[in-house]
Amino acid sequence: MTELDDLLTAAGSVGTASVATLTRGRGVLDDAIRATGSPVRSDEMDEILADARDDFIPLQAIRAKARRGPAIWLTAAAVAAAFALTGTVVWDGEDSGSHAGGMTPLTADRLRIPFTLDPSAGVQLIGYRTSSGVASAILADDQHLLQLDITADRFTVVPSTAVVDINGRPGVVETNMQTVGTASASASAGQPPTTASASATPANSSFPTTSITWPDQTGHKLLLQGLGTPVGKAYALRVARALDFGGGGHTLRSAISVGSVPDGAHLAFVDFGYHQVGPEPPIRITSAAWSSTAEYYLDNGRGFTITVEGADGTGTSKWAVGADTPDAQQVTVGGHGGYWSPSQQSIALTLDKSSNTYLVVAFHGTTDAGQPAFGVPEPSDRSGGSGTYEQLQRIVESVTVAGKPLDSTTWFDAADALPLD
Amino acid sequence: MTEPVRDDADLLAALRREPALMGLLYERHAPDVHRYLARRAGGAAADDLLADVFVAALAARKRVVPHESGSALPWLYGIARNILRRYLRQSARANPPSGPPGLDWDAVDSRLDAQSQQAQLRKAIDVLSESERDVLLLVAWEGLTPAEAGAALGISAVAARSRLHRARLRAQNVLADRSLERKENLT
Repeated sequence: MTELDDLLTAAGSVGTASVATLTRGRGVLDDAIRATGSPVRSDEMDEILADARDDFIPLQAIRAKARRGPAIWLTAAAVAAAFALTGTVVWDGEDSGSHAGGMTPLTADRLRIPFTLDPSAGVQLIGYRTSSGVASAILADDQHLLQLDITADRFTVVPSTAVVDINGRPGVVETNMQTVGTASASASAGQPPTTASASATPANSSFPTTSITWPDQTGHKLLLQGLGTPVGKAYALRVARALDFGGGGHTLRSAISVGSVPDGAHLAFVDFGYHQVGPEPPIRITSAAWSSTAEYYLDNGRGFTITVEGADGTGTSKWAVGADTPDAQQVTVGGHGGYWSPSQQSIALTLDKSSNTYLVVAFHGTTDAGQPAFGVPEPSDRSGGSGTYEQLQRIVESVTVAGKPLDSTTWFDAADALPLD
Repeated sequence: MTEPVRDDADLLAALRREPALMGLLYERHAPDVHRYLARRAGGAAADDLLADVFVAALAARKRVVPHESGSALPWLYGIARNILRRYLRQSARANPPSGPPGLDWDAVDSRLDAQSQQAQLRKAIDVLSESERDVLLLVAWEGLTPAEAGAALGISAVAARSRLHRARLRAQNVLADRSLERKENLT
């Protein structure tokens, strides 16, 4: 043996790793192994987030990425399931163009995502985080905030309207989102995607109702939601205080009561504000029927029809949700055509359902400072697009229901119950 | 009936579909990988870095190209080397090394009996390039064949053998020169 070998042998003499070290290392590895079943790898999410940061994230984009592997496919399935809950999923395929009562089971091609989100839904991935093998993706459109908790074998959808926690900035995710309902859809990693057929069903019937229930328990109810931005939040809060629903709180959450919608109730959903992109009008009305099992939009044969027509005869849109719609309401809104601005004509809203209907009025738009919601650039040539508090107030005040204007007195005086009939 | 023992090559081939098999590789090779790390960065650092190596290997499992020897160790040492380099770079920023980069010389010195030994080894290693040192130590300390060391370093077997030969020659020349110096000083 040479002197070099002697030296190297001496210098290379080390002991064996302790049992504690080996056990600890194995534990870390086991955690990582479990996490590999998680459909969201941070690097993949980084990519998606990068894409989403400055733009909306239509599901097509996820679908394109999904071809790379089942992990991201599951993410897309989760997204699709989530938005099945919110009714913004449309078919991407043979039934393209119409909503239907549920989501089709995914086929044998595990990487195919047979869904697409209507880009006008303005879906954004606003953040994600991973913890203890659970990847949470936070998505939002201008109506909903959803947290998708995704693990190796399932994902859970947590709808929330606690947008107060977004801080009004994209990509900022706070963990204290309010859970008002959960929904789960089975999706097994590595399994044929038929298991991700998104039978997403809220666990309770209080689907996103971070809202205020109008005190009239016999007729129509008014739910208010502050959506997406401090403006919407502030406006809803202002109304909440006027109605003395736990008023005086500093946040929307503390100021509101969570209303639950009874069996057989119907929703008319109106949101006021600006869509940042897409051809859809800034006003969308949807209505939904649900039961105590809260099968919302899904496979229950009790879908609904929403018709939105532009007063100028253009831009007529129709959402038919569910082929069989015995309880469907026809909700007609006039007054939009392209992007609706506060200076435009009043909105005439007619509900042909005479009772037990909730009118959900959602306020959203951009921040008080005029910054666009979720950081989406606002074209400078869009009149009124900044969506300030005052502008939104004007929008609300321009609403008429069954021909009757809803002025601020109507809105803020509880004694003057909303006369929807 | 017990299941047949799966060799490394089999495990590596199946690892893409069955990430849990990384656990078997851990059971089999964690002590060796720990020694690799401990020799270069000290025991305490090795304790922390051990899991990092296997987690990184798990993440890279789809890119693994098993060595023709069938052993997973060249692949694991290659990953360990990257983990180690990153660690040493970070450590160097906090505490500048007392010797040539690429090794925690304090950890190495602690295993040598006499001050003279430390100085000799440092001199011998110091003249080597990083790649020469790596191949030399993978063979001397980890017991890899030159071809396996080459696989760990991402170089061909021929290149590994050549570098090993050159490394040994240069290191031995340094030691011989120092030996001569010592004799001259005594006379």
